[in-house]
Amino acid sequence: MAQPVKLTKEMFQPIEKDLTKAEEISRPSLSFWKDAWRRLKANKLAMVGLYILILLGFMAALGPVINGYSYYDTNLKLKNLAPSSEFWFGTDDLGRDMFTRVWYGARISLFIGITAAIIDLIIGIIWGGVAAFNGGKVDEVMMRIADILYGLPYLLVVIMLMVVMEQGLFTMIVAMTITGWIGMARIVRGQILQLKEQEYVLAARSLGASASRILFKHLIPNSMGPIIVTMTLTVPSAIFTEAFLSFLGLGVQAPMASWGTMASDGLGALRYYPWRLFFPAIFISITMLAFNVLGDGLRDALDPRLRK
Amino acid sequence: MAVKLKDMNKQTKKHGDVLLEVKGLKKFFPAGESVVKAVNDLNFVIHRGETLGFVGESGCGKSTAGRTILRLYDATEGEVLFEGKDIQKLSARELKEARKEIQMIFQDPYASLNPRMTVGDIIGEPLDIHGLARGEKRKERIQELLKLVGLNPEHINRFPHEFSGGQRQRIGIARALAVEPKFIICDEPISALDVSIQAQVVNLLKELQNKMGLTYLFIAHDLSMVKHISDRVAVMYLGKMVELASSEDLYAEPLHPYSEALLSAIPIPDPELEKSRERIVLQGDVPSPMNPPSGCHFRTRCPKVMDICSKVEPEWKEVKPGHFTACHIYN
Amino acid sequence: MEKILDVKDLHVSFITYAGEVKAVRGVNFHVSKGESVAIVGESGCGKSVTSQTLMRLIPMPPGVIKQGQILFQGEDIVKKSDKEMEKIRGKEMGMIFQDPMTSLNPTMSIGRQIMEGLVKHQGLSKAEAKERAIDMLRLVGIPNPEARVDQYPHEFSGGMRQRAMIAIALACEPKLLIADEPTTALDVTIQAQIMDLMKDLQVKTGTSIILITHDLGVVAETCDRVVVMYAGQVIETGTVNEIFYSPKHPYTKGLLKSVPRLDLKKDEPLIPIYGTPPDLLNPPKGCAFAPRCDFAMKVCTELDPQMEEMSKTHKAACWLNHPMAKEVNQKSAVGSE
Repeated sequence: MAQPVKLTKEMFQPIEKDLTKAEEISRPSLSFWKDAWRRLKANKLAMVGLYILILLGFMAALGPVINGYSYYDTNLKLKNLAPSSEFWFGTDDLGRDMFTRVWYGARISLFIGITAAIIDLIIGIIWGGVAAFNGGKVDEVMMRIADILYGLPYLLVVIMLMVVMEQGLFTMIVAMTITGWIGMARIVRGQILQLKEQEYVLAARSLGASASRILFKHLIPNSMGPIIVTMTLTVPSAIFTEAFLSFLGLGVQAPMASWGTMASDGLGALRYYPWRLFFPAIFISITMLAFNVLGDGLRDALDPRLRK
Repeated sequence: MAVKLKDMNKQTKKHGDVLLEVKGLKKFFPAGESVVKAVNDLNFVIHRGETLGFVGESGCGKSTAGRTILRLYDATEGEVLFEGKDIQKLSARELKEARKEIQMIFQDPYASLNPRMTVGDIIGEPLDIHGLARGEKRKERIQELLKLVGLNPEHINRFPHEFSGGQRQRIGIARALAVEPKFIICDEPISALDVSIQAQVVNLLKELQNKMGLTYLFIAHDLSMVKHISDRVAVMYLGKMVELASSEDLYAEPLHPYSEALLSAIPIPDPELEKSRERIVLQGDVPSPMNPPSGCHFRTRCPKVMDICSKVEPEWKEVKPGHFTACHIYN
Repeated sequence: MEKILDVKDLHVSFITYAGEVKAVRGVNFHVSKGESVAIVGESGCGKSVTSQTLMRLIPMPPGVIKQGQILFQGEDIVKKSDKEMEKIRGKEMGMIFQDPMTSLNPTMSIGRQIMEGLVKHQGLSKAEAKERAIDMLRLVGIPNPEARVDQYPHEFSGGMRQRAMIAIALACEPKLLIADEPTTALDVTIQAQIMDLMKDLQVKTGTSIILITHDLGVVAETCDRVVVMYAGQVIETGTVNEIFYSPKHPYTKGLLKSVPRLDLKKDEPLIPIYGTPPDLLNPPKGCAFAPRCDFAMKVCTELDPQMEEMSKTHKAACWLNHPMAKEVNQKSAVGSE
């Protein structure tokens, strides 16, 4: 290798060793979340899903008040009008503005979906966490109970509930979460069983940490990846379930409307007034697709093994 | 036991009183139909200020022994007396107090630190658990500990993955020191580190021992390193202790055939010496701890095996002053 | 002696989100027929990347060979296509990996894994290949090979698995065997068995071996020549005696002093090398070892040291060996330690 610089005797003088340079960390601090976000951003499809959901949320908040119509005012003279510049999504058979109703329905459907997911999350984490952490007999008993509940014919349970309780939003949520938490519990249990044997958990025990400290400060935060992914995928599942139950006539009561009840109403008129089914159905599909695509992206972004 | 524990300490009078006394320690794990006898009747003492080394290969039970002493596992049988009190019998509250006296440093620098916690929180956790310092004082103490182990205190908010293996191991040491323990069990603390970093960590451990009067149980499979840091060394094989002696004595004159073979197997970084050395290469594999051979567990690989070895378990004897072994050759 | 492998000015980098990590920065070394050469260094020095590049096993992207030649039996394999490399891997060059647990396919019998290469590269029939597989198992010292050949990896112990890996690698009689930390995961008594086996096989088959390791004891025991790497570069190379008895690079010296030796007294201190290797995202200007070097000079932080030859076989990349250094500062010359 040719040296363009001329070597002088002066350059061969010894210098002081700089020990601080020897222990430097040159890269910027990148926490787990920042790294995950960076990876998510690179996934174009997941980002599209995210933007759609943000837009949806925005519309659910503001949609019902944009055009001045309310979701409940009926006007039989205006019933079943096709989409026009007056009524952007048309009207239903009671003359109500579909556009406003769709976004109002969005609020209800999203609310149901997210609430169900949160309740599943809380019950699931506690159930799965306690079972996995204790292991042995406790784990067996708890998971067998979960298995039995999981095996119950879901529809029957919901219908029985509807008989016992009044039909409506609250009952709907109870019906969905009564077995919905099991999926989350299993995921959490799986994660914690795996992490329990990690050395940092052993280290925490050797420091004298209590069981709850280990569970909430060590095990659960490190399980957040799969937990978040599961939550993201629970929401579309809940929205769909709600639509399905509403289809069967077990949904929320009028004048409250969800996408499911609107789709159910629209089905009978499909031949003549297709927009009444079309709009709620398309939004159910888009929402579910967006959540699923985002959930997939999150799964890859949050997987520590894929970290570069 | 033919030998009284107090007789085992003649060599080490220069150290303090007995800090830890282990009597008849056994730890068995159920495995389907049978049982893995990971630790099978361990007896020894450690004095204040000394370093006892535990060496052996995989399956010998040295790590299990360390964790059982700390009561991360409950012993199947036996006593672990720390300053006279049996750790196995302490209540939950007393055990938590005891955790301030005995600490552990773990093997894997990549798995022993919670990846989601900052270094400051990791070192601060024991302070939080035992309520030793809060707020500003807590931060000061953490920075003090970082400096003590040779790390830059400004890195307090960094995450473990930003540090190298050697640095992470030092974080683990800082964490163990936060409670100012008297006794630290080092479970293979350097096995996962590069060679030149191992020297850094070992020197740090020695320095801390002198500064803070610590007592160590040093568990490792690298005998050269164990010899370097330990005052006395115990050799384990399939859950049993086969030899115990001072560092110098064990290496100068190993009594048990397994110790001999183990020492012979270690390559020395000296080409001429290596060429001229006579090596004992053991045949066969280490037997499974689930089904150890009858009598002396080592007999299936022992170059000096005799008839009696398969029938009778050898007795633990003091063959030379301060030098113990269990082998029929000396009976 | 005939050179079977000649690596010239190899540069390998990885393109990551944070930038280009220069893992291998200008590596030169060779392996002659029948020799065993050790590549020694610590994590991050580039030895594994180098060895995997020899077999072209590094995924490209994110890896990229920026420049250099790898002349294997006279042909530059950097230029070969994937298909051409397939003919070389397993047949001309074999590799054994560190962790026998994960390097063997758990769903295939050991025999089949040995036979794969034989059927593909040597066109043997299944029956012939099986015979060869049994012979190979016998050669590597696995007792009862006729029964063992149909067993699965989980039925073998760690040491046996490593032997099986050696059998797989040697089945097609490759000219070069690359062993990447083959005994690091094994117990020391098993390590002794495996190293003995490898020495034995080398004598029997005349295969050249590249042994990648950080264990200097193993190097002293089994190798003819040593290549020392640091921060992606070769900083010293020589025969085993030259490296162990008269090292000419402060890193090599430091490494030898920081390793505990069984035959030394307990009170002899271990002298560690302070600090950590540099981040190869931003290799420092000049000599990569300078920040940790006790003998660093001004020139070390400005210019990359040249390889100085001490003998036909012994070379070191250190400014201390430059004639001007010896003139200026007698005390700090490495040789006078």
